[in-house]
Amino acid sequence: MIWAIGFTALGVVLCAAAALAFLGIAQVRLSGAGAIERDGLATGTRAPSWSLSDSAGVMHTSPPALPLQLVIFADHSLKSFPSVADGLRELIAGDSLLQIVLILRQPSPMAEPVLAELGLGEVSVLTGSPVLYADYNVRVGPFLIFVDSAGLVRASSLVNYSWQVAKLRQIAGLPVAAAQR
Amino acid sequence: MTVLVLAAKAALAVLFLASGGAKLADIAGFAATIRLFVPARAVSRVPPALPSAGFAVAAAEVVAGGVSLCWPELRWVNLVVLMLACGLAAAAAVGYARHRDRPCHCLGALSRQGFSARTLVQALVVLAAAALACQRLHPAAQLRLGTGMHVLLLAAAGLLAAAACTAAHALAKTGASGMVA
Repeated sequence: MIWAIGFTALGVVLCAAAALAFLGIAQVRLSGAGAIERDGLATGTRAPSWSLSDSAGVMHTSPPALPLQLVIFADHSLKSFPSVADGLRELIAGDSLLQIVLILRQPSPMAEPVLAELGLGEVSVLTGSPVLYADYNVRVGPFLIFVDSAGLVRASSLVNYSWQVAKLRQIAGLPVAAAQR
Repeated sequence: MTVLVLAAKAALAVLFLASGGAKLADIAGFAATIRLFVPARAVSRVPPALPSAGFAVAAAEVVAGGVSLCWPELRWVNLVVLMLACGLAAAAAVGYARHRDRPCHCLGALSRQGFSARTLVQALVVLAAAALACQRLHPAAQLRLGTGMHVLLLAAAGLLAAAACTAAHALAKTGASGMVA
């Protein structure tokens, strides 16, 4: 009997210790600036599908009807990144085949007025959810993900400057196999 | 000697539960490792079968680990664990010889190790432990677990497999190429 009790105790302790260790390893690797920079979805993977309506009641979907869709993960704090706003304005002006939507993590009445103030009034503002952010593996913004009409991710990155927006758009234009290299 | 045999048995069961659970969270990554061991001539013919093979190996590890931990009195499970350890050692040896530094996915996305002398030594230690666990116990030390002990060990095994799977799944998702620069 003593052996059975000993084995059971050892098994339970080992299982609990290993479970805690693995969860701890994951937590450590997923926290910190380096880990946040690797958020998002890898190029070529399938992006989440959704249908959301904007404040005017217009329905937007992903995958998009247009060849390319830019999903912006941000809120009114985009005002703190004027260079990103500059990059987005350049994208809107130069790419008529690109659908741009901004997804909020939670409802924010300030988002649309702030975007209009930044000259980004054409960007459709959609109210998402923490779950949708998790589906895209996004924790902090501003984060951009390009999705093509087949629903595949073409480019994905946290951005702080306009040149990053432009470069991400260039990467999104590459064939998926080339962009994965 | 009895203590060593039982400790080896419990440790191996925990190892295979964690390893199988983590692999289940990233079957695609593990399938890529299996692909390394497919002869070049056959690579074009087997891709659809690789995820199934990966799932089968991962599931076999979880089941063998779980049964070995929860029903330690079953001697045939020791032989199954020994066979799995032999396969692991063979894969580590071939990987070290032919695919050095390629990701081994031994613990799914929880492990960043590539095939190396270290992984080969680890696999040989696991093989030695599996051989030790096959030793016949002294009649006085035969394990007779009660229902409560079985339930406790089953719960611990389930918790460990779920924790390894969850942690590996979270890490596997962070596959984006990083911040655009």
